[in-house]
Amino acid sequence: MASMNTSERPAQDKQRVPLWRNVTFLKWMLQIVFLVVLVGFAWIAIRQVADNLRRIGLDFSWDFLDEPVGFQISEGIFINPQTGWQALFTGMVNMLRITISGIVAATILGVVVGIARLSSNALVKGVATVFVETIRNIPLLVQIIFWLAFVQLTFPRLSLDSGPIPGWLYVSRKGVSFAWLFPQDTFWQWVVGLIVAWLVARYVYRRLFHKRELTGEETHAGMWALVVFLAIAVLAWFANPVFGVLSYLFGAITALLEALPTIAMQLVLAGLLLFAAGMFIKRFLDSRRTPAGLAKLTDDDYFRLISAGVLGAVGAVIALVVPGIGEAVLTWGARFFEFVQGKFDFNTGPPLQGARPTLAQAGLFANYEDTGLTMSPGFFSVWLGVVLYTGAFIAEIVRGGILAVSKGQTEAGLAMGLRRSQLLRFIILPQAFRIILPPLGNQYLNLAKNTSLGVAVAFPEVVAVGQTVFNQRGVSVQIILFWMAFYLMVSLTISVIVNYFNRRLQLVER
Amino acid sequence: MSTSTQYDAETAPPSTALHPVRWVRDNLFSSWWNSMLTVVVALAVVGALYGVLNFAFSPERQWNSVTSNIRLYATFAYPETDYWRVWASLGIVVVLASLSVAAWAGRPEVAVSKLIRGVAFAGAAVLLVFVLAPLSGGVRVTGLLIGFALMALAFVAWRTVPAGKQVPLLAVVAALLALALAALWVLPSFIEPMVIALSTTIPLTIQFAIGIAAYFYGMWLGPRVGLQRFRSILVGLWLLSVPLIYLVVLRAPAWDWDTVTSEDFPIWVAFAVGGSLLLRVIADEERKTLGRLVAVALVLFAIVAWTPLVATWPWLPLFKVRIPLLVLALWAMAAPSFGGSAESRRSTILSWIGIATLMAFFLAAATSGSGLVIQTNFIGGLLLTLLLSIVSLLLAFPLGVLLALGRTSTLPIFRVVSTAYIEVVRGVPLITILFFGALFLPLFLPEEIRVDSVIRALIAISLFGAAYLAENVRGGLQAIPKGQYEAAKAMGLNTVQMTMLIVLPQALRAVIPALVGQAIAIFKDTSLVFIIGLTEILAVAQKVVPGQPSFVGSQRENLLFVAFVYWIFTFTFSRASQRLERKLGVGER
Repeated sequence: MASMNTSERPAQDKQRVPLWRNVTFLKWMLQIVFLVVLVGFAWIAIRQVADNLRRIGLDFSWDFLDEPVGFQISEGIFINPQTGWQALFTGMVNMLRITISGIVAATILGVVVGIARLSSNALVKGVATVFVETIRNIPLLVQIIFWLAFVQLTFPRLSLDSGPIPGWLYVSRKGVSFAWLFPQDTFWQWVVGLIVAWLVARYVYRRLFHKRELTGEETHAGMWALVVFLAIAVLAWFANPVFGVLSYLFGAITALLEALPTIAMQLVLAGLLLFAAGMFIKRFLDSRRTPAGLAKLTDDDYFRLISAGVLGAVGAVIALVVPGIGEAVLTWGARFFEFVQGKFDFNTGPPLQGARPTLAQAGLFANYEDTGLTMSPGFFSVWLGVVLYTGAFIAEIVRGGILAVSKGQTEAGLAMGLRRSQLLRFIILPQAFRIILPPLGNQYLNLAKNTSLGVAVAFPEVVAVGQTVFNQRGVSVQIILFWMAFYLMVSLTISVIVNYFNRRLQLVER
Repeated sequence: MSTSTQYDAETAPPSTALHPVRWVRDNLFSSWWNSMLTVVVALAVVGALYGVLNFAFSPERQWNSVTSNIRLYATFAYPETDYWRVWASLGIVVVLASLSVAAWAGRPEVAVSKLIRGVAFAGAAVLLVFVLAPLSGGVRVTGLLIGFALMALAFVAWRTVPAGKQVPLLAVVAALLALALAALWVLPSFIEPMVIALSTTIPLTIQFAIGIAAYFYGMWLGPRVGLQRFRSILVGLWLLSVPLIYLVVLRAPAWDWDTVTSEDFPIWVAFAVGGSLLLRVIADEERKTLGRLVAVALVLFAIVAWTPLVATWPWLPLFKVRIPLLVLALWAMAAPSFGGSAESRRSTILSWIGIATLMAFFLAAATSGSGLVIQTNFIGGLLLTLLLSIVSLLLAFPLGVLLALGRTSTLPIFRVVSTAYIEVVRGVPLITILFFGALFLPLFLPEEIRVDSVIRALIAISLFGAAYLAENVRGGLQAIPKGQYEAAKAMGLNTVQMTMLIVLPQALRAVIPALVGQAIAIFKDTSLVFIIGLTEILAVAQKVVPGQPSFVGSQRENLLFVAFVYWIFTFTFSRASQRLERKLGVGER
C-alpha cells in the first residue's frame, strides 16, 4: 500500500507516518472497534432479553433443574421424573443410546454398501448406487416420519402369538422387542475386571511379540493374549465383588467433597485456571524457542499469550468472586461420586442377565425393564432413519477412500498372489481407512446432531424433553442454552475420539 | 477424431461399442462366484420390488389423497383468486432460468448410445413393473406392450444409429418436457377427470413456450450485449428477482399512499440526493484520507443508530432510514477503494442512486400491509420450501464468505470471533437454532417490533447455513497459492481490492461444487421448519392431508410423494453440479 511512496522518499520519512496511516495501529484499531461494537450489541441484546423476560414475568434461574416436574416420559431411565434434571437426564441418555448404536450400525452398513458400489458385478453395483442416490437425496426428516407411519400403519397388531418368533422376537405396531442381555448391579465391578484383563492381555501380547521379533520364534502372541483376556474376564465374572473395594475410594472422595468448605474449592478452581494459563504460556514460549534464543514473536503470538493470561486471570477472579460456582462443583461432584460409589457396593450375582420380551398387558410391552429390549416406534424410526441416511453418506466416503488408494497398490498385491478378499483386507482397507477417517468423524457428528429430529416423532430425546420442560415452566432461554451446551459437549467428545485415532494412524505412516 | 482415419484396421484399437450379450457376460456372469451373487441379488431385488409394487398398487392405497390435494402441496393456503401471482413468479424464474441456460450452458451434447441405454432400461423397468404389480389383465397387457415398444425402439436405434453420434442435450431435455406436457393434455381424458391437472395445463404450456422463447432470445441477445456483460446483468436480475417475487408479486402489497408520500418518498429523495452529494465529495482522489475518515464516522453512526440511544431522534428509529443509512455508510467506505477517477466516481454515484431507489421500493413494499386475505403465513407448501431455501441461501452466502475471510484473516480478533461462531453453530443441530430463532429472536427485539415466523425461520436457517458455507469457502481460500497474494500486493492493490478482485474470484470458483452440495443440504434442511409449526410441503403431507376426514391414515402415500418431490429437485441439482465439476475441471488440478 505504501510501497509507491516509500520508493520515492528517503527511508527516515517512515518515522513521520501519521497515526491514521500507520497500518499496525489501523489494524488493531479496526479490531478493537469491531470488538467494542460486538460486545455492545451483545450487551444491548442481553439487556433486552432480561427486560422482555421481566415483562412477561419470568426470571432467569436454573432452579427448575431441582424442582418437581409434572409429566411422564414414554421411555428411558426415569419414566416418572421427579425433577427437571432427571427428565433432561433421561432425554440425554436416550439420545446417547441412539447415537452409539446408530454409529455402529451406520458404519457397518456404509462399509458394505461402499464396497458394493465398487463391485465388478453390475447388479450389485446398481443396487448399491440406487440405494445411495435414493437415501441421500431425500431429507432425513421425511424418512424418519415415513418410518414412523410405516411402523404404525403397516406392522401387525401386538398379540401373544404374534411376532416372527413368539417369546423371543416381536415385530408390531408397538415397536420391535427382542431378547437381550442386561447389566445387573454387579456390572460395573465386572467392567473394572475387564479393564484389568485388557491391560494384562496387552502386556502379554507386547512381551510375546517382542520375543518373536528378537528370536524369530513363533510365539502366537495374539492367541495367548486372547486366552489371558478371556481367562481373567471369566474369573472376574465370578469374583467381581472383589472390586467392591473401590467403593472405599469413591466414598472417601464423596466425604472429602462434602466436608470441603466452599472457599477451598474456589481457591482450587482459581489455582487450576491460573495453572492452565501458565502452562499454555510456558508451552507456547517453549515451542518458539530456538537454539539461538527466543524467536521473534509476531503480533499474533502476543495476542495469544496476552489473551491466555487475561482469560486465566479473569476466570480465576470470577471463580473467587462468585461462590455459586465452587458450591455447584462441590455439590454436583459429591452427587456424582456418591452415585459411582453405589455401583461398587460389594454387590453379588452375575453381571449380565438375559431376558426375553414379556407383555405387560394385552397389546403392550413392559418398557425398559429387564424384560427384553424394546425399540419403541419412535426409537425405531429415528434409529433406522439416521442409520440409513448416515450409512449412505459413509458409503460414498468409503468408496472415495478406496478409489484414492493408488492402482499400483492393487496391482502389487495381486502380483504377490493375494486373493481379492486378502487384497481388500491387508492392502486396500488399511490405507483407505487413513483417508476415510476424518470425513467419517464428520458423519458421526452429523448422526449425533440428527438424533435431535426425534422431536418430530415424539421420541423423548433431549430436544423433545427440553421442549416439554419449557412448555411447562417457560424456561426457554435456559433450555436452549442447555441443548447447545449438551450438543457441543457430545460433538467435542466425538471429535476428540476421532482425532485420537487419526493421530495414531498418521504416526503409523511414518 | 480426425486422426483416427490414419490408422488401418490392424493397428486400430478393438471396438469398445456396447454389445448387450457380451456386456451381460462380462458384468454379471464372469465367474461362478459372480454368477451366484447375481442370482441371489436378483432374487432379492425382485422380491423387494414385488413387495413395493404390492404396496403401491394395493386397492387400499389412497393415492387420490395426493392428486386431489396438489394445490395444498403447491401453495398451501394461498388465495385461489390470486393464483396468477404464483404463475407470474414461476414465469419470472422460467425466463431467468432460460436466459441463464443460454448464457452459461454453451452447447452440451449427449451420446446417443447413452440415450438408447436409458430407453432400454426404461423399457425393462416398465416390463418388470407390469409383470410384478397386482393389476387387472387389460392394464397389464397395455403396460407390457409399452415396455416392449420401448425395448424395440431401443433395439432399432442401436442397430441403425452409428456409434459415437452425439445430439444436443438441450433439445433432448426440451423434447422430454414437451412429452410430459403432451401427457398432461392427453392423459386426464383417459384416466379420470382430474380438475387440477386440467387447470394447470394451459399455464404450464404457456410457461414452456415462454421458456423456449426466452432461450432463443438469450441466444440472440447474448453476443450482441457481450457475453460477460450479459452474464453480470443476469446475476443482478436473479438477485433482484428474489425480493421482487417475495415482497411484490406474491405478497401483493397494499400500498398505503399516505405513508408512501409522507414517509417513503421523502426518505428516498433525501438518500438519493444526500448520498450522491456525499459520495461526490468523498470519492475524490484528493480527499482520500478525509473521505475514509468520514466514511468510518458514518459507519459508526449507522451502527449506533441501531441501539436504543437514538430512540427519541426523529426519523432514525424507522427501519426505512436505518437500513439505507447502513448501506450508504458501507458504500461510502468502499467507494475510495475503487480508484478516484471521474468516471469511476460517476458510476459509484449512479449505482448508489439505483441501489437507493430499489431499496426504497422494496422497503416500502415490505412495510406496507399485505393485500391478500390471509395476512401472516400466506405462503406454504412447495412455494415456502423453495422460498426458504433460496432466500436463506442468498442471505447465508455473504455472511459465510465474511466468516471464511475472518477465519483465515491475520487479524486475531476477527479470527477468534469467526472461528467461535463457526464451531459453535456447526456443533449444534439445526433444530436448536430454529428454536433459538422462534423463541429467542422475539426476546432480543424491542416489544414494538414483531417478526413473523417465516422471517424467523429464514434468519435461523441463514445463520446455520452461513457457518457451513464458511467452511466450504475457507477450503477455497486455503487453496490459493501464496504467490497470488504477493503478486496482488506487488501490483499495489490494497487489502479490499486484493480480496475482491484476486482472492475471492479464484477461491469461489474452486469450491463451486461444494457450494452446490451445501445448497442442496440447505434445501433438504428446510423440511425442519415443520417442527416449529410452519406449513411447508412436509407438514402438508404429515398433518394437513391426513387430517382431512376422507383421507385418514394416508400418511405413507403422501410422505412417499413428498420424498419423490424432494428427490427430483436434489437429484437434478446434484447431477448438474457433477456436470459443472467436470466442466470446470476442478478435480483435475
